[in-house]
Amino acid sequence: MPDDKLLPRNRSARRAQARAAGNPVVTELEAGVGNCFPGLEIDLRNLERRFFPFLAVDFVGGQVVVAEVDLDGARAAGAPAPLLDGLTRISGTLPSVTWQITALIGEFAGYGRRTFDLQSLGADAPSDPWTAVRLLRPGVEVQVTFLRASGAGTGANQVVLSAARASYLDDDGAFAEMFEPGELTQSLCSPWTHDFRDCGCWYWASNHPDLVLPALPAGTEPTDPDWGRRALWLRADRTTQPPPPADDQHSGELAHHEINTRWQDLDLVLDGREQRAAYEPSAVAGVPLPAGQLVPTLRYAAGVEIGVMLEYLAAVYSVDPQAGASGSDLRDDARAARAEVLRVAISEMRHLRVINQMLAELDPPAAGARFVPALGVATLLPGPPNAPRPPVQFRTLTPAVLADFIQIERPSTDNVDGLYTRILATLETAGAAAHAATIRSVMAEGADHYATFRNVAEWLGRHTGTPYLRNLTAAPTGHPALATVQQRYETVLDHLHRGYSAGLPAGGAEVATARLAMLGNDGLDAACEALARAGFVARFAVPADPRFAAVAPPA
Amino acid sequence: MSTGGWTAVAAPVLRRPAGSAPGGVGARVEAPNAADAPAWHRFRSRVGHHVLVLEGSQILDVPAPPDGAGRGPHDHPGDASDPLVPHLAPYLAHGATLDLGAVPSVAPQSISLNLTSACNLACTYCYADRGGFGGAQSGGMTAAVAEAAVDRLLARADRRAMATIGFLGGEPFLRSALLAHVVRYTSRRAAHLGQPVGFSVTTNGTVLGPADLELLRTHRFAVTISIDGDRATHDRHRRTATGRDGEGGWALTLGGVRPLLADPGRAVVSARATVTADDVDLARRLDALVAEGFTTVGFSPVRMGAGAFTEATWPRWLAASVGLGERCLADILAGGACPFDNLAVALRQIDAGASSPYPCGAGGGYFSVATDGEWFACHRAIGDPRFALDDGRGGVDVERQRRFLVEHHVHHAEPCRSCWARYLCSGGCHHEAGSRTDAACDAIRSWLEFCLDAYCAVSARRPEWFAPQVPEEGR
Repeated sequence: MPDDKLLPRNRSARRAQARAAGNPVVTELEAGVGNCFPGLEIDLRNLERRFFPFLAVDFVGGQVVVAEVDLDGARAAGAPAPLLDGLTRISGTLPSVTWQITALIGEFAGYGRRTFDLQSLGADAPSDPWTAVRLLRPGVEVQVTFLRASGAGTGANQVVLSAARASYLDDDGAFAEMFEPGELTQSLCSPWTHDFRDCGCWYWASNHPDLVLPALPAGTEPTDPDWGRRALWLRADRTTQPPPPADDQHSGELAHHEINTRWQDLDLVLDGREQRAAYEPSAVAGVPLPAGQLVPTLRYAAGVEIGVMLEYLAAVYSVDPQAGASGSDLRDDARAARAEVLRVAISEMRHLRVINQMLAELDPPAAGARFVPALGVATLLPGPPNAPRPPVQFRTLTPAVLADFIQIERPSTDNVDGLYTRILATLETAGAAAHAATIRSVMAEGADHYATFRNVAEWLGRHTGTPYLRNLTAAPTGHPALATVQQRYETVLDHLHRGYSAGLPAGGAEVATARLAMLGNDGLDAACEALARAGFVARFAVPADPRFAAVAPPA
Repeated sequence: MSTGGWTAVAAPVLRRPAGSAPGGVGARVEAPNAADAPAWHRFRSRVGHHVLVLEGSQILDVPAPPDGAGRGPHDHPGDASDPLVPHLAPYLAHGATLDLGAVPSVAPQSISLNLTSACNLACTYCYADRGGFGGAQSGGMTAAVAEAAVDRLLARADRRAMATIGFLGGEPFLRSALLAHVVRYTSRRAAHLGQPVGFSVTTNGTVLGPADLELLRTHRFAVTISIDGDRATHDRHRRTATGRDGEGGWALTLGGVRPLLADPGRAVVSARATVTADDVDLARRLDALVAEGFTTVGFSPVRMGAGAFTEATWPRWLAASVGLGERCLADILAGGACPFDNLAVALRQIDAGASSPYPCGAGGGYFSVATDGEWFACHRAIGDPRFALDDGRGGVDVERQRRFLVEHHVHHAEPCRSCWARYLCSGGCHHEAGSRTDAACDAIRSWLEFCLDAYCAVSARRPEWFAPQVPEEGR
C-alpha cells in the first residue's frame, strides 16, 4: 500500500469519503436534476390503475384500457359469479384484443351519483377519463362498461361489471398491497435515458454530459490531437473512430426512441473522457497539509503563479502576430494562440491576487504592522517527485513547450493542480467555506487553462513546422530592451506590493496602477513585444529587492 | 454501542432524533483535548494494519506503522508524530460532525414495566434481589399504573421510530394476565396514535402457559430467556424457590420455552446466560444452549456481588470470550452463522460505525417503571435515589435528568474519557460503574481489539455477512 493511501473499511468510514475521483463534485447524484415529465417521483395516474377489483388499466392518451386481469385473485377472493364471468370473458381475449372502458356509473366527488360517458365527457364533467376515475369514491359500488375496441357497442363486444371502487391506500395509510413493486413509477419516462436526450444542451447538471473526449485506444497518448476533439456523447454513430467533432447543431444524436434501446451503448465519462477500460484515477482526493503548513504553502502557491505566468509570458511574445498572409489560417491560428496564452498568463495574475487576499485573512499582520504580500517567484514549480522540473524557463512556444504547459496545468497530484488539491483538502477540513470555494474556482480556472492549451495545440498542430513562431534567441545580458523588460517587471511588482500590503479598498489604486504598468502603452506588455521584435526571448530575473526574493517549496 | 452483551439487558441506545439541535438541553460535555486522549487508535488484524477513528468508529486500512515489524497487535496507540496524521483529517472531520460531546434531549421511547416484585426462582447473582431490590420494591403493579405508564410513554414518543414496552420483575409471567392486558392496551393505543410499537420481555420461562405462548407468537416480541446452560451450571445458580442446591430451574425453563423455540411466530427468542467467575467455559454453555434450539446466546459476566469477576479472574473471562470468538469467527468465515451474540452484535455495530458517549439509553430514551409507578433511569436501579428521575407529577424532572446525563456522559468518567475505547464501551453499565477496575477494563479493551480484528477479517473475506437483515415480518 502506498504511504499516503488510506482505505475506508467500514460503513461509517466510507461515508467520510463522499467524494470520488474522476468527476467534479457537481456530478454527484444530488447535484442532478434527474427527471423529466411528469417530473414527479411517481406517475399519479397509476394510483388509479387498480381502481376496479382484480383489474389493472392503463390511462393512454385519453383512453382507459384494460392492461391485465387477475382471475386467480378473483376466484381466491370468492368474487360473485357475474363479476367472475365478466372478468373471464375479458381475460380470455387478452392481450390480442384491446378492451376500453367507455362509461362509469358511480359516486363522484364533487358531482354526486352520475353516469359519465368517458368518450365524450362534456362540460359538466371531469376534464378527462383519469380524473373521472380518480373522483370515484372508494368503497362505493361503481358500474363499468368495457368495450372491445374493434367491435360494436352491444352483445359480446360489451361487458358491464359492478364492484366497489378499490382504495389505493390501506387502512394504515400506506399504498395498498395490490400494487406491484415499480408499478407506480412504470409510466414515467426513463429519467436516466430519455432525459439525456429530451432537453437542450447545457440545460442539465453536469452528470449528463453533452460533449466528451472519446475513449482512447490502447497505447494512445491523451495529448494525441486526433483524440482531443470533443464529440457528442449521444452520437448515434458509435463506429467511426475517432468520432467526428461535435458541430453546433449536435448533428447525429440518438433520436428519442433510439435512446431507449441504445442507452447501453453510451460510455461512462470520467475526467471528461469516455472510459472503456478499467479507470485509473488521474487525481486522487487531496490529502490535507500537515498542521501549520497552510500559510507557507499558500505563499509558495503565490510564487508558483508568478513562475508559470512568467513562463507563459515568454512564450506569448515568441508567437508572430504577423505570421502568414492576412486572412490566412496561419495568421488566425497564431493570433488566437497568442491571445489565449496571454489570457492564461493574466488569469494566473488574478490567482496571485486571490491568494494574497486569502493570506491577508489567514496570516494577518501583528498589531500596527502591515500585511507582507507573497510576491516572491517560485523558481521551482511543483513536479513529479521522480522527475523534478527544472527551474522556471523562458522558451518559445514550440510544440514541446506547449506540451509542457499542458503538463503543468493537467489535473494531477504532482503539479500545480496537485498543490491546490492539498490546499483545498486542508481548507475543507479545517478552514472557512468561503476560502475553500475560492480555491475551487482557482482550480476550475486551472482546468480551463488545461483545456485552452490543448486547444492551442490543436490549432497550431494544423501547420507543418512552426511557421507561427518568431525566430528568437536569448538576449545578451545588458541588452537595453531586456533591461527595460526587467525594470518594468519590477515596477509591476512594486505597485502590487504597495497595493496588497495596504489591503482593500486602500490598496485598490495601486493595484490598478500595476495593471496599467502591465498592459499600458509604456507597460511590460509593450516592453516584451519590443524585445521580441528585436529578436530576443523575454526573460525575467529574480529581483534583488528582498521583498521579491525567490520562494522555495515548503519543506 | 453496548460492548456486545456485557450489560444484562440491552436497553435502547440513546439517540438524538433527526433534526433536533445538537446539545438539546443545551448541555455539552467537552471531550478531553487531543493531548490527553487519543482521537484515533492503530490496531492490527489478521488482514492488515488499521486505524480506528474513535468518533464514528471509522475503520481504515493503513500502511504498516513506521516501526511496524515486531510490534504486538494491541500496543500501538496513535500519536501526533505518526505520519498518518495529515491523512486522517477528513475522517476526524467526519467524526466531529457526530458531536459526541452533546448531551441529548430526547423524549422516552422505551420503558420497562416491573410487573411484580416476586420471582419463583432464587438465582444467586440476581441484581434485583428476586424483584424486591432489597426492600425498595414490593407487591405488584396494577393495571392502572401500567396503563398510565404506557400513556405517558406514547404521549411523547417519536412517531417515526418504534416505541418499546419491556416487561421485567421479578418474573413477569407470574403476572401473565396483566402482561397480556398491557400488550393489548398498548397495541390499541399505539394503533390509534399511529405509533409503531414493539415489546420485550426477560423471563426465566418456567411458568409460560399456552396463552402466554400465543401472546408472544402473535406480537412483535423480543423474548430473552434467562438460562445459563448447561444443566449443571444453570441449576447451581438458578435455584428454585426452595433454595436447595440441585433443585434448579433448567428442566422447568426448557419445558416452558421449547414450544416457543419450535414455533416462535413473530417473537424473536434469545438466551442470556449469566456467567460467574467460577465457571467460564463459555463454549460448553453455548453448545448446550444451541443443542436445545437457541440460535442466539448472549453472555453477561457477573460484576458485583456473589460470583463476581475479580482482578484475578477477569483474564479468564477474556480468554474464554476470545476462545469462543475465534471458533465462531472461523464458522462465519466458513459460511456459517454466529450464535455467540456478543460477537455478532459487536461485528454489526462496528460495521455501522456505532459510537456513543452512553452505553445505553438509561435516563434519556429509556426508563424503568417500578411496581408503584415511579420512573427510574434503569431497571437495575429501582429504588436507587441516584437513578430516580421522576418528578412525582407524571413527568420526568428535567433538571435531574440533565444532571444525570451530564454525569453519566463518558467524557465525564475517569479514566474512560481518555481511553481509546470510550465510544465503543462508553464506560459500561452505569449501575455497575463501581466495579470498573483495571482488570475489567483491560478485559473489555482486549475483547474489543479481538472484535475489531474479527470485523476486519469478516469484512475482507465474507462481506455479505453484513448485508442488511430482512426482518422476519418482511419475509
